[in-house]
Amino acid sequence: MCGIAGFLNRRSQDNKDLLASMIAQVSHRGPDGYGFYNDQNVGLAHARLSIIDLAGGFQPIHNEDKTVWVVFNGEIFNYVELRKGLEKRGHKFYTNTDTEVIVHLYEDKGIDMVHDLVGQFAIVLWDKTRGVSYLLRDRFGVRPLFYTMKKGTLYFASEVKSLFANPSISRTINTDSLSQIFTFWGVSAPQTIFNGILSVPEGSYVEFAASRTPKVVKYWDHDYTNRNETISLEEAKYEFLELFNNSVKIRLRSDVPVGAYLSGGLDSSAIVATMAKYHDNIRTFSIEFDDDEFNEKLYQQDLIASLDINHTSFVCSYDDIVKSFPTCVFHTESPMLRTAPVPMMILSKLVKKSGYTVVLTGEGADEALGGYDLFRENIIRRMLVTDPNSKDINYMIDSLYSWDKKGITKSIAMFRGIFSGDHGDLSKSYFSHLPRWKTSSFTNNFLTDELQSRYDYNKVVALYDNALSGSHLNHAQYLEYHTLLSNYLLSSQGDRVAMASSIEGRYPFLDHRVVELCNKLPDDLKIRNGVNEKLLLKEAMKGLVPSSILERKKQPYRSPDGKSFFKSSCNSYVFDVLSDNAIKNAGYFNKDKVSRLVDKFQKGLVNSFRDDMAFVGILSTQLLHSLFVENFETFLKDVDQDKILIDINGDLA
Amino acid sequence: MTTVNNVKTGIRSYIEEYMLFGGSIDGDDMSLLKSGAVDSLGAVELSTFLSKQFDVKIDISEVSPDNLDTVNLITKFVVGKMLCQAA
Repeated sequence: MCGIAGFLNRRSQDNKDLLASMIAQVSHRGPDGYGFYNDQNVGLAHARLSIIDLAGGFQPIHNEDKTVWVVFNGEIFNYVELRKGLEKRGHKFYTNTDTEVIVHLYEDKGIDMVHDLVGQFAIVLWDKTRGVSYLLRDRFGVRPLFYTMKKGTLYFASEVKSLFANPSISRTINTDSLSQIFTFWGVSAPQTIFNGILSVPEGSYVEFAASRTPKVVKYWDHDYTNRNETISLEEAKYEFLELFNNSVKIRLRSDVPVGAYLSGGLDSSAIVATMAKYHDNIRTFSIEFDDDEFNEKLYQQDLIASLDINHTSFVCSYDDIVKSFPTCVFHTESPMLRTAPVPMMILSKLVKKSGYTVVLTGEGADEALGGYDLFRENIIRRMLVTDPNSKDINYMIDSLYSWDKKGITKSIAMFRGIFSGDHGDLSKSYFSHLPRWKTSSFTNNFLTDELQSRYDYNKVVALYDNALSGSHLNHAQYLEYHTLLSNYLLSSQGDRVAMASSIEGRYPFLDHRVVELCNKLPDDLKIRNGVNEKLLLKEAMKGLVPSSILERKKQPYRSPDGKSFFKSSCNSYVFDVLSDNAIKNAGYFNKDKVSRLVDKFQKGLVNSFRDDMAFVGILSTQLLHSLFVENFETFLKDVDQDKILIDINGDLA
Repeated sequence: MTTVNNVKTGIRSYIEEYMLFGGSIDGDDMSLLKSGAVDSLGAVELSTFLSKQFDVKIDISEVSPDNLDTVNLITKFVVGKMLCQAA
């Protein structure tokens, strides 16, 4: 994994200096050295994290006659197979990297080559002959890619801080995007939290040529049409295992050690158990908490005992969360509604210290196979309207929210009370997500009067009012991929916090061939009888994963939220950041309401999710403002000249 | 002496101050759950406040819309508890 940055269509004396400054801001993504390409119009920069072809493989990389150049952040896992085919067709390689297959495939197929790639990637390709560039992003948004236009120049980077290295790019927070984050947990691409900064959407590429407006093209999306309704569980299991085993196997391709995150849940256990088929000396890592409410230790131990695993846990305290929170915001470049990214950031540091650079991790399983409570909640909410007297409803409610040890959220009376009556429009494809969005959107109540007057919940929600294919479950899955997964789990809780310590995460459940298979399956193989989630995965893992884990109810990864900041002794900055003056000066929130929220936490009054989300959301927004809008110059890094690996003058190459 | 009105005022003040953060409840028969003023975990928070503020014991099974969905219902629930405990 790496960092990339650069610009297209820029003629200026300071091109080289700006390029160096841009790439220096993402040195944490690529600590192993820099590579540069400059010609009259284009600057491409790469910060390398060496994973494949350690001795060579410096980017930017070119084709045989140096007319096609690429910088690339990610991995093409099927590069071995692609290379074989390309060499048979006469292409000449000069490195052993996965990167180089991109330029040769492009020579053969043009931009349609993206369909051949199995991987996670942010690619910028410069076709000198045609004078065209492409910014490509993988199908799920694993790797980030941002861009902005200024006076006909397109600037791009892995992280927004590289774009801000250019002092002519303004740094202001988009308050409409703020409302999106406070509803959907993330911003719908191409918008971002910053005005004027765009994100290449997942499954898309941007085509750019001088004096033309960038054109966004979607090359891949989920397709729930032509489902195989007659496939049996046994047949589906066979097909799933064939693809999943290959997905894990090719994600072990690396010239550096590969480990795995192990939470104790089914998804990470499935990955580790499958890794054991292809890999000796499995090394795994996990987080534990001082606060028992969030611990999954016992289940981790069940798998560790069943396989020969060398496992390390990091114990996360309230102090750890509070001390690291501002740094986390600097890496996520976004407000957050949860502190969950923070322990993941600290965990990545531990992984690095242990000598590992790559980890396999379980994101994507719940989206593909119907794992989340939200999917089953959707079924029950629909039944409350269409068949309220069904005898199945009560036991289905009872199967939800297993993390709630006090059993409040699954109180049948409370569930019926909240979800009967005004339940939302069943015909809307986003019906499944209304409860979550309603709860999260509570944070918008803390905005200033002026910002609140511009906020219209129904209008924000209508962003996702699209006709979708497939069943109601498929609609919910689609939304989950495009909201929580791509805009939060893979970014703030994934790429950003892993890259903070130069760790590359790899996601076997986000192999598009696995996802495409799952998208064609009937609902019943994902959720059976409204209670048995991820049925197919459980069947596939029988005999590989201990039954205690197979039988365990879904427990989402959570970490202590608002209370961390009031149980920790390292919290003095919190009161400065949330002071009346700071709130007023930043201009996003109502200082009286924020003050009441802080008061409520200080008094230790019992708090709900929405209080937690509001607190973390407000605090992270204030920090984002301080770090990026007000004080960004303080954090600018210089490029380490001793780490320049290659520096190519494209006009002479 | 605690009157029914005192109880009602105390309940409304808590919800407006600590659950609506300065907002206001639109009538004592407004559904707190359906309006989103209170969610399921908020109902637990409310019951904790009620038991501390009015010195009444509330069982988890009593945390339900029948008892907690409107200011009037909560008042009736709490006053009923207080009278039982006094008897």
